[in-house]
Amino acid sequence: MNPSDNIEKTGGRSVLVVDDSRAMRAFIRRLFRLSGLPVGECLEAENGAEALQVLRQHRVDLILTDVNMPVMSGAEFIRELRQDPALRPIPVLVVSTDATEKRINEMVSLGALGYLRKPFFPELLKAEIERMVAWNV
Amino acid sequence: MFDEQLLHEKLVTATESVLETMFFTAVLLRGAVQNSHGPLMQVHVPFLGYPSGELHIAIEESAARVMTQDFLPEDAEGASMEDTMCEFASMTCGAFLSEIESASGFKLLSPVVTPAAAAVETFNGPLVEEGFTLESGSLVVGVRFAYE
Repeated sequence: MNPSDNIEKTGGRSVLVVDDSRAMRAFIRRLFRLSGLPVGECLEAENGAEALQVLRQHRVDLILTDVNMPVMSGAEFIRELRQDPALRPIPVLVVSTDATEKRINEMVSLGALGYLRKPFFPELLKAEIERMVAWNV
Repeated sequence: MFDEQLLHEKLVTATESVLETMFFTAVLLRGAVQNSHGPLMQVHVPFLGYPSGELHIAIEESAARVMTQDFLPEDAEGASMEDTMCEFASMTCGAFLSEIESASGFKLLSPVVTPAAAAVETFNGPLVEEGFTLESGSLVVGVRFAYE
């Protein structure tokens, strides 16, 4: 997948969605549109390795990432992110079906600022993002 | 110990939760289903954990089509009905395993779409299964475990 294939630009904040499911990435893009959040650019990546490539080419205000992904998992991705001084400050929200205490603790200790368990009510995505970042809507 | 009733309850709860929360789809009836709306699509999600096993769904394409329309945005280029059903199966599997393997953890492997007639029996352990009648067709969700 070309990381720049699915970019929406209408002004506002820039978000990177990292998930190996095309359907889930499209669903999250849809929720951003409905949420009223000031998301202008929605970049996409299929796994952590691809996400790192995107981040080296684009400025991003928020990252949403899955956990279970081929090539580079969500945990490995956050670990890489936190070792890069330029990328370390970007807030990360984990969106995953894995709601085990073990996994949540792992991702939070690696530096995730939020953890949203699938399935979730659409309004919870907005609430969690608003809890994490101070965006003026 | 294999508590079939408890696992069955957890599977039903996980499936209905995913259907209602993410796909805006209500369950009309539970129990044995009649396939009357045409061809079926099957998806299998293997998982590793304690125990390991596999979740499978068999869904009538009429129901899969409506769920896909409700899930995806209108301009979801590239995302297909198969992608959406794989996501539905993965989400259901994750929600189910989060309830039963909350301490030990688990790993989901990539979902696989198989032809409707294909019999895929990877494991020989116990099976829990439930049928769901939706407005647009029927759905069967089952989990077979790897242990005896």
